[in-house]
Amino acid sequence: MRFSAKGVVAVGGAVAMVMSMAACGGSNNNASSSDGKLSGEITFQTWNLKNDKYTPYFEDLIAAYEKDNPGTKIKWVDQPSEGYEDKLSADAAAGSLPDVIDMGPNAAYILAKAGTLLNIAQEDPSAKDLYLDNAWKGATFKGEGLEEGTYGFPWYLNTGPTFYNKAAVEACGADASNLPTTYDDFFKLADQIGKTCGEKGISMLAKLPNSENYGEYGVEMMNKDRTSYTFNSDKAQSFIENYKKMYDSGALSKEALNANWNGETDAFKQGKVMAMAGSLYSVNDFKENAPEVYKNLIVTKRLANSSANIFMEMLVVNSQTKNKALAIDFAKYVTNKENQVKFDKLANIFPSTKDSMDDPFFKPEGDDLESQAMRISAEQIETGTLWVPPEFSEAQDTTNLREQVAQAIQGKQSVKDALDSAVKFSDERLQQ
Amino acid sequence: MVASSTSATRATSRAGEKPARVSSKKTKHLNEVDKSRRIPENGVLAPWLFVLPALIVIVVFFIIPFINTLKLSFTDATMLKPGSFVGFDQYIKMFGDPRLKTALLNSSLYVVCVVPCMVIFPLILSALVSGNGRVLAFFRVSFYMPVVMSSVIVGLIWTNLLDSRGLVNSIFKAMKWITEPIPFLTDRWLLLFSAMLVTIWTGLGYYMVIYLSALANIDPSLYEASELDGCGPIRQFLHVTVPGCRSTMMLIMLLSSIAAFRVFNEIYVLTGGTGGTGGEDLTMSMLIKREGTGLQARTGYAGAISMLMFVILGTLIVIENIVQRKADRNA
Repeated sequence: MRFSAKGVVAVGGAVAMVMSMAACGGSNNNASSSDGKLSGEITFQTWNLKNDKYTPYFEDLIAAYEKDNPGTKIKWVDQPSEGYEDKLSADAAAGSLPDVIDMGPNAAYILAKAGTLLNIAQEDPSAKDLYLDNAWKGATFKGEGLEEGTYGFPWYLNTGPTFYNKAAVEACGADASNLPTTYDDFFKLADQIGKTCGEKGISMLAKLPNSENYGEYGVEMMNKDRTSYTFNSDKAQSFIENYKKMYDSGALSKEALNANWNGETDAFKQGKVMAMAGSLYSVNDFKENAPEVYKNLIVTKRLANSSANIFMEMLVVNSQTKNKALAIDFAKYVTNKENQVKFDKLANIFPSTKDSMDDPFFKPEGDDLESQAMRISAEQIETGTLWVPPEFSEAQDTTNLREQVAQAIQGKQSVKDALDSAVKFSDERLQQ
Repeated sequence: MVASSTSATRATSRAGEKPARVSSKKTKHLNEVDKSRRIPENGVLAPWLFVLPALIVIVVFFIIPFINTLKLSFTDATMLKPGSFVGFDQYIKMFGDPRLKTALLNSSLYVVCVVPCMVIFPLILSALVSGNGRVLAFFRVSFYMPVVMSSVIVGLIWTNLLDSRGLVNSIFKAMKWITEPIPFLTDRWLLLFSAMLVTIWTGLGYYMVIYLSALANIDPSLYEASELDGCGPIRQFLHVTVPGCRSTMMLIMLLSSIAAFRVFNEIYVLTGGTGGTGGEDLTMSMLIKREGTGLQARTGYAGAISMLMFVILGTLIVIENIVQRKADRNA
């Protein structure tokens, strides 16, 4: 067979083009520490916190630390929210993670399992006494190939109330003065008024359950050894069956099967949704961007049969840091009571340190919606639980669970099959 | 430099002008220096030097990542673990994965539905808007506008149009054609066809421009002759324009089928990144992205899916080349 030069170039070009499609695939800190005295330089990475609102806080925080610890230098870097996990994975794979990093428990679990994070419980056992028990527990991981330990300092926490739109509630025929705060009551109400809501084009909810909602309903997500998932239990099946009933009656928005969080918020702002979970940020958002809904807003405790869910952010320390003492000390400094409360007041979030919730800021006395939302959220912080297991990946497990559940709700498979399939998928990933 | 000076000398000689007088000793010396620095035109080195920059880019950015992907596909590597050799395990697992079947079906359907539209509609469009005049220029620019728009913006425009409370459903409701909104973004097939519509809408202008350049190369005398033979516009289009653009049509078929099989942006944006209700609108590229990125990425598994995609696209290219050659021989 003869090949012409043009043919070789053409085929070569085509192969290169196809290869490029198929080819997908995987600080230097010159710091040091001397006995008892901290010195050297470390890199501190935050997640989307460099902006007009927070930059002055972090600059002052770092300046104060450097002043108190002469000879130290903290290099602050911030990464945009989009693709943060990809950035972390690229840095971790290249062995170039910063010294102190801001991340959630899910990312921290994966990095801890890969041996890239320091076990704080081992490095600084006294730290445990400084943080709320639920927060410390949320930062404590164990699993196959991972020594039980606390792989970061708990930083800020967040939770929020459930918001009802009074106009939508009344249009559906429900009693606005007696709104449900548990899933059981909510589903009972859905049985009574779901069809009316659906016929009037109002959704009682506009989102499929998130992974934290299973825990709030009373579903155990994992076994005690944390070796396999258990969210295909009877309890979990009854949870999804209730959603299916709402979908069939028209009380669960069709877009809920597909929509992301913004979709739910946008629909709520348009007055098309009766209830949604939110945070303190949501109150201001409604006030500014949906004044009609704000006028009709009712704030209640977060829907939960058990305790309300808490989200947590952590500061982890790179196990390869060249200045361990400084990195640990700085992470502890950022997450100490004083600095957390100061930051939380700025960002409308909550501290993970003990005794911090006594601050009057978290217990306002007014009857306005903001004060109500703050009081409810503050109470939930002290009693709530981090329901999402750190092992349960948002990108993979949550997405797959949502897809399986969406198919079950549409009747394309049984609820049991959907949950069994999701558990199988997540168990397989847990073992990897 | 060497080549140009030689050509200049030749040109001067051809013009019959007397070259500047240079002593024979000096000329000999210059020739020796010239020869020592000169890259032989027929030597082995010259062509390699010309292709070297492109070769480096291809090796570094295509060949090495490709070999790495191939290697990964035989391991159980994750983003943070290099993994160990597992033979064909990833491939066996891949063919048992229901998501792969969904993704293969969706990507293949995309090729089947989008490619004919991309080959035919832009040709008709270019035949309609070719020529001079401000009105035609206005239409050419209008049809090209979606090409310069960001795919995210395009996705958002169409999401707002096709949403259950969007413009299309509102108009249909106002006209009393429907009582319930059409689930363009929540029904599996409607969402896929909506994404195809977006792809065609954005691609029309791009391929129209390619056809316009092909139309410019058709000999106008062919149109005049066909007109004398009594052909109307439709027969002229079928018997002059289409044969005149045949090679361009083949090129567009190749380009659009590769692009269609790799579809990502349109579905990603229309579904808010979720892959549609129950993940039923996942495509091959979306599946690779889902498995191959993030902290929990299974790079070995993503590598196996990428290799499958490579084989499918490679086969598609070979088939289209064979078809083109046959068509050329028959022409």
